Amino acid sequence: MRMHRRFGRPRVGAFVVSLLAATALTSLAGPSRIAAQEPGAGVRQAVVTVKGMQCPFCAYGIQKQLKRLPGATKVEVELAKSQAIVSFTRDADVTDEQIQEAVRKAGFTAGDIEWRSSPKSTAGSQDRD
Amino acid sequence: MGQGRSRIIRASVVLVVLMLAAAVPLERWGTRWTVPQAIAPAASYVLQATWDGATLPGGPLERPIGIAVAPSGDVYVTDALLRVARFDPSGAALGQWGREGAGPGEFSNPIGVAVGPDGVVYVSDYEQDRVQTFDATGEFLAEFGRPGSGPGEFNAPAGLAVDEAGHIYVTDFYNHRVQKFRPDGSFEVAVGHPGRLGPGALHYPTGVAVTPGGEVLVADAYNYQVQWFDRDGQPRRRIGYHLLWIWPRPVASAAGFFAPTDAGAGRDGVIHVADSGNHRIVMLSADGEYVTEWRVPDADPSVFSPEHLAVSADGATVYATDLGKGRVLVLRVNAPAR
Repeated sequence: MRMHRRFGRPRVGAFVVSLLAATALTSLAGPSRIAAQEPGAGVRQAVVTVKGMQCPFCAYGIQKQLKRLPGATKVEVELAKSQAIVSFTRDADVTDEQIQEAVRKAGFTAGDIEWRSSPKSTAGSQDRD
Repeated sequence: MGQGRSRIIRASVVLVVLMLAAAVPLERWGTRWTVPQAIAPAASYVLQATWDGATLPGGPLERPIGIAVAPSGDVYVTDALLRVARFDPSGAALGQWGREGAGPGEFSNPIGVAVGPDGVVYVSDYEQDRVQTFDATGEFLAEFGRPGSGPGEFNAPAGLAVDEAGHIYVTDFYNHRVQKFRPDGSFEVAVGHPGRLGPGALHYPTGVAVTPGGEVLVADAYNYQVQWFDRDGQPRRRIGYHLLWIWPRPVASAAGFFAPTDAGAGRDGVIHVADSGNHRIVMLSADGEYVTEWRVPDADPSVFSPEHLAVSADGATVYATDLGKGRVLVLRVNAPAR
């Protein structure tokens, strides 16, 4: 019982801290969200799920095809996660269909495609590329 | 009503009989998996060492994939750091070369590596669709190949092999063939053709080797088989359950390979197959009979491995890349008594 109480207080404290942190993060995230909506203001990444990508030769084939997409600057394949992460230049105008076609050329079928903005540090290194 | 029902039953019975009748020849059609025999008790693999390349100038091996043994006994490995690493037979790092780019000595994705009888090192680039040659220390010598599907052109060149006369064999992954080149890099003949059935049909081949008798062994990864060709490119025989893609069944040692990505043979003729989908190396006699196998004990289940392998000239050691674990596996071979 005592133990429960001891752990109960920090939980309330943690909730308050989390709430404050979430509020602060939301305010910080504002400009990024806007940047993501405006082409040219942020580097974009597509996280492509490709099932059955356990064979490195196949994964590298997918990487090769994705690198050929217009504006693609970097492609990383994560065999363990069955994912390919494609980074694009700011002005790249690539559609899900183009990504699906590239994966199809490599002999696979693309699953979910999630678009996201790169973290700032990564974007910086890509700018140098 | 009753007549209709009996017709359906009769038709169903006929259909089942026809399916069974078709299944038997389909099962045997073109399959040459005549093994396994009883496992030879005296034959085995013993893991001697693993190399992580920690003393390489550019840091430890990262996703190693290609591997070759030179006549001197030195071992060459390609990895994801866009380099060729060189080790002595004890595993001591002797050096490395390569960097990102498209010029001489530069790579986008070096995959296959092979060493000729004169010590020349051949490296395939999966993305640049070319093969570069180097001396033993990494000095650039020449290159051949370009993107495409015509003679002498590649779409993702992977495994390499060089025969005693200096001919170069290159697995052309997305063109579903192996190409044979003369020692000067000019195209000589295509080995195999795209396909799923029949002798000589290849589907995403990844590895190639030359036997002491001069036959060409092709790891036909996604037809789940190993095929033998003569030096003119004519198919001779094959083993493996190559109908896996239409007639799936378990691929344990008794049934066949699952994505065999490389094969090699020592001077004694014993054949070793990197059965990557099963995370094992399979030993075969020179005639292709199953002898024994060795499973990678702590393989990463999310990555097929071993990818490529190389056999020392005396046939006593097999070196294999384990991409998922970032290491080279060094196995002593206890070959079967003749």
